[in-house]
Amino acid sequence: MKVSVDTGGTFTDIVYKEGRILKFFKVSSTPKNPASAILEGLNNLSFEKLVHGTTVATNAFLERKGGKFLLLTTFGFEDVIFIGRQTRPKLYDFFVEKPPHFIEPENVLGVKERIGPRGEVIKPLEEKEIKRLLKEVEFRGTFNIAVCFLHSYINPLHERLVKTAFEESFREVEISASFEILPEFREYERTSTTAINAYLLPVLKNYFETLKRNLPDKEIFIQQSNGGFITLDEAKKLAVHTVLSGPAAGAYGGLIFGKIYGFEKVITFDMGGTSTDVCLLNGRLPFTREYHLDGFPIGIPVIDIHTVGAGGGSIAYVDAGGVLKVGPQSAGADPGPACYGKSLLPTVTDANLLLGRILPDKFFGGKLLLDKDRSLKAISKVAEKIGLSPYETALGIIKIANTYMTRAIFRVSLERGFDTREFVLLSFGGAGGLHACSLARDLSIPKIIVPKFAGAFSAFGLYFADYIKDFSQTVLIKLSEREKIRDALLKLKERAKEYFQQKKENLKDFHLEIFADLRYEGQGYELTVPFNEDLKTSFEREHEKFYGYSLKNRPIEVVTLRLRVRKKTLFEDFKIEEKNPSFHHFEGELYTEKGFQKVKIINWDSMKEGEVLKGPALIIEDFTTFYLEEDFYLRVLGNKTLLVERIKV
Amino acid sequence: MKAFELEIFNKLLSSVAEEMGVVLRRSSFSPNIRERADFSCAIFDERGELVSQASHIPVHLGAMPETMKVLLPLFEWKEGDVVITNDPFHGGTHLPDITLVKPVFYKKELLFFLLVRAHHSDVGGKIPGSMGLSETIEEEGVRILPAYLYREGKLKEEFLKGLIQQMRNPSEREGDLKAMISSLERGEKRILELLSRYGKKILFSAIEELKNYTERAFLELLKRMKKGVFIFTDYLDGDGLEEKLIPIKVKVEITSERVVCDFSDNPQQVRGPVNAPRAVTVSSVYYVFISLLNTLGEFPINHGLFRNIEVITKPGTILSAEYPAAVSGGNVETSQRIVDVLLGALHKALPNLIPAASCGTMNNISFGNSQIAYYETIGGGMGARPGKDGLSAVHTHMTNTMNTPIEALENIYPVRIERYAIRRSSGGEGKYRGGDGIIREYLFLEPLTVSLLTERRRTAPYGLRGGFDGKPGKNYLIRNGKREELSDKCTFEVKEGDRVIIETPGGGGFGKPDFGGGGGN
Repeated sequence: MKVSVDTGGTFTDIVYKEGRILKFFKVSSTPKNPASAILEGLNNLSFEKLVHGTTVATNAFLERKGGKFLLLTTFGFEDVIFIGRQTRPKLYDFFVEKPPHFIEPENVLGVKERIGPRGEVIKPLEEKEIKRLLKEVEFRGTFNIAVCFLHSYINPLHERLVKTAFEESFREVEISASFEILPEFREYERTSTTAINAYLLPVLKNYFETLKRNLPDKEIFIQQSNGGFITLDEAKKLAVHTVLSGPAAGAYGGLIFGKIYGFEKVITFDMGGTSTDVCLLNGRLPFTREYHLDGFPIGIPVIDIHTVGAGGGSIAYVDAGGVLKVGPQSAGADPGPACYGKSLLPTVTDANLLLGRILPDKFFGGKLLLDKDRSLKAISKVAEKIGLSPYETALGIIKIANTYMTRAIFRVSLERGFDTREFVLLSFGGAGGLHACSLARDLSIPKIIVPKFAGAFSAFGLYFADYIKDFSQTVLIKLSEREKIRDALLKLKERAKEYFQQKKENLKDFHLEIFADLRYEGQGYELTVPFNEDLKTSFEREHEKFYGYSLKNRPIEVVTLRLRVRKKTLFEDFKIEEKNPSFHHFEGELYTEKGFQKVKIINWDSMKEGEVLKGPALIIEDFTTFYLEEDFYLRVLGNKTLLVERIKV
Repeated sequence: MKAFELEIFNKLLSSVAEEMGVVLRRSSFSPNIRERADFSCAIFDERGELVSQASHIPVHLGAMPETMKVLLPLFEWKEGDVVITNDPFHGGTHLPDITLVKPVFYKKELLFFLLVRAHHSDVGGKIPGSMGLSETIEEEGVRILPAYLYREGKLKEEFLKGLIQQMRNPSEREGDLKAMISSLERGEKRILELLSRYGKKILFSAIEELKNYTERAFLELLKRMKKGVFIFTDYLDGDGLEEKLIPIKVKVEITSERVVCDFSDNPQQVRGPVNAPRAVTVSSVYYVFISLLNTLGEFPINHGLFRNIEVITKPGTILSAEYPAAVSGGNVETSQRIVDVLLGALHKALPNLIPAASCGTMNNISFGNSQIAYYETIGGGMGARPGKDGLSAVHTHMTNTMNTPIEALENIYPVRIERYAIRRSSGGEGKYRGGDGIIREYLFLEPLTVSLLTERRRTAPYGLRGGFDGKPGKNYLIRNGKREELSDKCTFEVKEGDRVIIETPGGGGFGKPDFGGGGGN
């Protein structure tokens, strides 16, 4: 049997199948030692395979708790990693700060070598220079190494020499070389990606080894930021590939879940405690190469997930101009929103509770009793400052949080030329269901689908994820030079072949996808299109779509070739577990813009396929609640999935 | 309108301007726009008052309201029009900054204007990059007087062709202008969506309330300032032609309702290219007050901020230059000094919010020949702040353009970068240290014309309250193994194998340094 586990900040979610029955549950996370929640959750399950989404890498970076390493650069460019793009993060702020760095200047070593833009060796890397480096590293007490030389994406000779020399001299040293991590141009982005890998490597290695030690006879796979998993042994060397591990699983889950119900065009909306992740799926997963982790660029392709700092725990306050604001500060899991009983921080969750959208005794399966009076107290403080009633203020807090989320969806959809009216909104995460109707209304999204396992959805995505290994190579070849492109592609395939040969596997057993990053000669940004015979037309169509025009006579350039090697996970149909409902339905009360209003409260477990329900209603599940607003109705699909639509007037 | 609705409209409007910027950057051609992001976008209402702007380049953003003020009455605006200009004497900044304006009509009614301004790598003139030692505006490049680029949806092709053919690399210019048009079109589409969703009435009442909201916040800032008259003088290194420091002076008067920044007591415009058109001076003032406002919280930047700020300049002076002054350095260099004198004056009114002087220059370097032109700026040290060191190796105050990746630069131009480093210990000592500058070393692989427009080579960024000054910058030419110091502003020819080294200034320190050692009291 296979299980999938997604570790989040507050909860660790587990999904597995028993026969055809898909089961899911949550346990509390143990941030200090994430493995212990996993082991606890898996305690009574017998399984052979584990697919795991983890935030260990991200958290270690955010807390700057990576390992010490030495960075080798071309001599004269030791500061590239510190100068970055020479910009300050905020324009109109005398007190602006850069995010704290993850390497000290004294741990960067310049190496006498130089390669030019066409791969020509300008200054050879001499034997004695390598010897000097080895001595220096030994003298410093040997640490892991990151190496990034100028133009190594086009000629990795010098990085390779360094790598070989270190591998021969120090067996315990891990080397992250930029030509392997990210053989693409733009030195700062490549250096940053390579250095982050070296920095996170020991943390992940340690974590993975703990997992492996405790689960010695299991096959363990780790989810990457690109939506596919790799083996634990591969992941140990590719730390930087796991930074969006969990959210990527959610996006991938969205793709397969959408397909089950016949939806190709899906916007995923995952609202958690501190942040909200959104992703637009137009029949396939979108990728970006411009992701920033706490201010530092990561140039590898990751699923293009837009994150905003608005979640259930976001704190509301009134600013100096007398305007109500929400977030990005969050109450987190500890002390948590006012209603958790430890603080008086007025949060989005408190607003939802006060308005009657969350039931204080049904939260997290009733295992976490919420204190509504505290919410009222916390929100009243804010309400006094703006002269509104606490209920109106709570509505305001929700509306502002919704604006942030609307904007996030806007960014990934309308801003990129996608019409929201053609999409369905897939709502998940513990808090997503409370906001989905409003967002759909504001963005003219006609349909919402909500899985019953919305509270553990990312783990669902993990369960069905594929094995994926990405290879890329910057080539900078004119599109008209077909021979050269073919040769470059062959070389790239050769590299992949060797990689799998070393793992004693055959590339033939995998599914290959090829992409090309193209641009008009002279442009600075590329568009990625699937490789085909007529790249020109594909590129022009894409350019037209993104920018509204194309330039028929301008030469096109192939910047980077990408090869994706995939081993598909068989998708098997599943049924969700039928549980005996602890209650069926009763009547409650909501506060809306029209004042207090009666509302049906229904147990999700008692809903039957084909059933139709008109809002307003609250559909209650152990790990999530869906708020069906007055102008919406829902139909229950197979597996108790809710299909929600606007009532036509 | 309820308090939370304001915040919603604020975000909706600013995202339109931001999206315009994304479209421009992604589809443009010159490294200056696509890599360095040297451009800005803004929305104005039908009266020409600023509604919203994206966080782009301060020197553009503050100047665009001036541009709008000048352009609005000049044209009979119709649907489908796009007006183009780069004229510093019509609300522009310097010639490379080309501005396009598009009116937005809704139900046949003119309701908004969209502005996009981008720094083009070359606009003709005698020096590649159009940013060198010129003596008149004519020498600096093509001056585009405000004119229709599109009239009722129809492109004036001959006019456009005529313009770009006078510039180096016309196809790059055309591509960049196309990208600017594409950005305006996206902005128009979004604004129309907002109008059809909320209606004119609600949208405009939100806009007015947003202006009032920002005005209220500004008045709140005034409350916290010491009232009175504050004067401060600092110096420019020179105009590049005469070796003479040029004083820049401001008199700031603060009352409980208003701030008056009086720059009338400044020298007549000079021969070299450091003259600032009025828009640049106004821009620097707005920059300072927007930054101060942000110490109270995050507020929308719109016309409400400008209502209680008065900027007095005297036409024909270096801070309100008139035809035919050369102005390429006014925008990039003089603007920085205007900020320095304003902060120097305001330090007395707001002692806990004002930083020491930052590097005070954008360290402009351009090079090229008859076919190619490349331009870039180099960051420096940020002045120390009350309670914080200054940042090292960043752009400060009036600019925030990115560097061009070395690997991108070397792929296109006949130049090799030999060193790119933080200039350690260049920041001024102090209780809080000034940030360090940058060292960038260029090796030229072909004969080229090189221009430097730099500042703070003869004067130093000042420290505050006992903090030491930052180290002045240095420019060097290395030819045949010999090092020669270059002046702050110069245009010269390089041969294959020549090197130019630019060392940028550090920021000033803040507070008396504690050099340790214990000792008594």
